Amino acid sequence: MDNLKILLVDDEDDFINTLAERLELRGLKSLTVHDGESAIRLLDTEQFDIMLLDVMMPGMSGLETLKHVKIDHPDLPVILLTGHGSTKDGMEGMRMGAFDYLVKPVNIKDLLKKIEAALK
Amino acid sequence: MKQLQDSKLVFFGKMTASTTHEMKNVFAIIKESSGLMEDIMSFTDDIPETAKIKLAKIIDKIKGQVERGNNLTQRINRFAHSSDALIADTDLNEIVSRLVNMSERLAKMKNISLELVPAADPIMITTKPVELLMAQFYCLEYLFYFLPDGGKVSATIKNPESKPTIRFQIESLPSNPGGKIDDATLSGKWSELEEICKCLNANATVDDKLCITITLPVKPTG
Repeated sequence: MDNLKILLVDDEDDFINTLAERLELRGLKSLTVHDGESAIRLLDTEQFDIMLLDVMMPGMSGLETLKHVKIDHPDLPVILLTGHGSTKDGMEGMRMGAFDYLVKPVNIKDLLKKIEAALK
Repeated sequence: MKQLQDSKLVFFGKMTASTTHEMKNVFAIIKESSGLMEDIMSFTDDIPETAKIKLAKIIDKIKGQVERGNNLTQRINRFAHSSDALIADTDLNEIVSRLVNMSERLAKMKNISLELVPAADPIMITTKPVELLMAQFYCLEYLFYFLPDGGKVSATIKNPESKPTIRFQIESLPSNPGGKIDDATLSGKWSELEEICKCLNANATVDDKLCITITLPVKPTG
């Protein structure tokens, strides 16, 4: 999984920056943005191997963002991050083309396994 | 009037559920931060072994509490979503576990242990979720009244002849029950239960072994 570039999208600064740091320690390079619009703009200029996308964000929701991403970058694997009680959104996201979803708080080992599976 | 009461319930449910999403984010951040501390310890060589052992213990405590907090938040979230619809299809096992889980603290305050005995298969019913939760709560309150300190209460879910039932029973009395049973208080509690059972078209019976059985219709009327 070396040299992977991950796009992390979540409006919770502390969560996403800490997660990015943990991925960095494992040799995974990641870029963070805090909303769907910024993620869509960034995808037009930079290449990523995978995207981690929070479902519940202010402004453009995770599922709306996913819809746009799947039109312009259909091959980019997307893993959704949902809250408990929002697993319905996770299932809906998979129907819309997301590779899988994880319920927050995320277990890093589970996340790495999902990333690995998504890239196979 | 009824419509206003219903709107109030939906309002409280929505506000509570939305707050649990924020709480979940707090736990996610604490979990990631403790995970990062763990990572730094395992990826760094110059931390003394004794400090690593102490820090590992602290991190374990944080993780345990995050899990606890997260489970509680999940329970509150499920509970808050009970008022999403006035009538809903629900699995009886699930809605009883929702109430039993939320009542654990109340039971603990009286040293009472609660046991849930679900049916082997899901029992789907169409019901008024909030009223059904209230009915269960009144059953527990009634039985807790006999157990001033200690004892065990079970909630057993069954579906004999397609008649969904929940049976709340005092399984064991404390060695020294103590306390005074006030008939007026008991009768007041029973009236509350009967009233709410009417809304559910359900039937509640009590026997002298201190067991309350609620029999529910598969679909509500009225």
